[in-house]
Amino acid sequence: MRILIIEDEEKISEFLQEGLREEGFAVDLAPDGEEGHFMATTSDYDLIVLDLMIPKIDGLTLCRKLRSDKITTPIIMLTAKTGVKNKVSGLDAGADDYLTKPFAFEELLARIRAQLRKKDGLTDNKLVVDDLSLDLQTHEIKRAGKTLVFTTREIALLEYLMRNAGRVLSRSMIIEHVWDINYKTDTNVIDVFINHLRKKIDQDHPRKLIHTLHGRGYMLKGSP
Amino acid sequence: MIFRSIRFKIISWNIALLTLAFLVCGILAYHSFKFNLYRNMDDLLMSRAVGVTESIDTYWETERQEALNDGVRTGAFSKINNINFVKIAQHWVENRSSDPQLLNMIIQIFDSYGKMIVSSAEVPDWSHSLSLPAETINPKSGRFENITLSLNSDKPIDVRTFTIPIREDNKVAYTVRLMTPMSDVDRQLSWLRMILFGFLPLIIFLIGIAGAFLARVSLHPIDQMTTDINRITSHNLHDRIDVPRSNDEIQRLAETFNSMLIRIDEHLIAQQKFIQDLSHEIKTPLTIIRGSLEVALKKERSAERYEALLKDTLEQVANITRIVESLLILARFENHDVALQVTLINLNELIRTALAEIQPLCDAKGILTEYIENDAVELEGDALQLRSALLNLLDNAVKYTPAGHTITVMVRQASGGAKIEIKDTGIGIDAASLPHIFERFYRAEHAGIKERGFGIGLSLVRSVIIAHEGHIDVTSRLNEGTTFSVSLPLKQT
Repeated sequence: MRILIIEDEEKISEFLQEGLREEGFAVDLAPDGEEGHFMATTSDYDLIVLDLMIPKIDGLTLCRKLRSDKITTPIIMLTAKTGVKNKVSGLDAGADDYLTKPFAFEELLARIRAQLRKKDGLTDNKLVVDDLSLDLQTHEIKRAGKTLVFTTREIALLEYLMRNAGRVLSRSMIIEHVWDINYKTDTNVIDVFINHLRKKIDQDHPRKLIHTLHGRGYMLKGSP
Repeated sequence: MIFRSIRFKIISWNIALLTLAFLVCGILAYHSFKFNLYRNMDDLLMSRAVGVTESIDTYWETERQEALNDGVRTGAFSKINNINFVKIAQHWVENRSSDPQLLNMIIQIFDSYGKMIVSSAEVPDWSHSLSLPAETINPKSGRFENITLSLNSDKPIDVRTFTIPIREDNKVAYTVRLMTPMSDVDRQLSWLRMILFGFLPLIIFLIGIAGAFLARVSLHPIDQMTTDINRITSHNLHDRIDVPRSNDEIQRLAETFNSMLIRIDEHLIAQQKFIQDLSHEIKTPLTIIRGSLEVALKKERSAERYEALLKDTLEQVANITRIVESLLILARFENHDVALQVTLINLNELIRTALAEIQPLCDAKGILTEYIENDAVELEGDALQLRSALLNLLDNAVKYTPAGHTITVMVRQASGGAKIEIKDTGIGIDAASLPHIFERFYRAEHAGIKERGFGIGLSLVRSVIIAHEGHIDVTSRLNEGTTFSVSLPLKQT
């Protein structure tokens, strides 16, 4: 899942990026409103974390602008301003959630999970395809009752596949949602990671879940 | 409650003073009235007594002359112990006592021994003789006396008496005593007493009621104001009480109260703004500390990573400390809480040392400095505060001036004061930001400039200059440079 953080305070975006990356998110940073607007409109993000006080275009204006540009990506606002009035104006500008500084990182994570759940119409933090399950909170992965051990990047890839189970995902789509902007597109990497997933998930099972569609991409699908 | 109201105090003092004044006036009036009544009565008694003696003497003289003419030889011409005189006196009294001039009067005539010869009315036996020997009474002024008589078995009446002895050859020949009842005088005095002690208290009572009404009417706005003031709490300090257009003390009181409310309100708003600013500014370093610590603690890290984290955290703590300290200084300036340590300062010297202090920064960044001393200026001021203001301005100039450019500082004497100009050829400030740069926490956006202050420096500079009764102006053009002009008076009042 790819997240855009629009925040001018370098130290804050630094720890946000690090913390979210360690949770398996692909994270891009924008230091001001203009760049944030450009990135949000040119790339397909799964979620945007938006600071209210940013240079060039302020957070509220940017939020309204993105919504009028038909960007429906969930937006979580960050601000040092407290008070109901500020929250109301933030939510009315099109934000989906609102978090005041200083916040607990775990709370931000939980709110990000909640927004992603809502986006994909999930009711809990568990993705299930056939006998494969992924707990989004604990990152526990099970196939037919057996716990499997994955790296962060593998989990991120699996999560994307499972969230879009039954749909064909092109390599560029996978790159866009699992790797961040700093990753120079080399689609071969995807093949390598897919192979890792296949080994862990499908090797010991007669029923294969990961399918390759030549010239089109990959698809995760349970038996009909 | 009513006893502790101004209304009650005004009315009770009013009534007390009024009563006292009426009492004093009443007593004085009563006594002077009484004195006058007595004097009138006494004058009347005296003139009637003189009339009576003159009339008797004339009568006696006429009778004596007739007797002489008739050839009757009366050996005794003296009125003393003269039976003829007794007869004449009796005769006179019987004939003349009905004279209208002697109405309401009793005439008594006593012989030289003080024994009553005749009385125009029946009087008790005890008054048939004089109470004092006639010789002891002054024949010119006579003697007044108040006595009580019982006439005709009526109830006793008070009478005023006047006794005057008539002398012949230095001996008392006879004595005339006139009596007149004092009932007239008593009636007038009791009428006066009734007015003074019955009618006046009634007037005082009515004045008291009128006063109470007036006090109620005139103090009503104060009660209204009390209600209004009670309505005002710390939550609606921006409310004002109604000001009555009465152009009196009450209007002034309401206006004074309102202006006090404005002062408190402004102070409170400033305080709230201070707290908001402070918490807002502190939230950023707090977010950094909290977030980076939480992320770091999520798993085991290398020793280098922990060290870097601790250093970062320390830096953020230092930031918080700096924000708090600067804000406190600023707040103290804004509350006029800073006493300037005024001394005579050599301004040229002060600028020179400030420039020397930032020289290393300029050298490191490759910025040139130029100092133009047009005049030697000495002025009164707080050297420490002015130095910190100058350093802030210079620091600012260094921050926003690229390498190879020049910062020019100029000092000269201007009308009634000193003028300092700090001019840089740096990136400048855009027109939209320019009016705000002295505001607390205002930070203009500078493309490509990484160094960012807290937005306190220029507010502090302005506070210092204003505390010195000077002023500061700024002109700037984007990409051409900024000039700060500071004017300072030579003397501090």
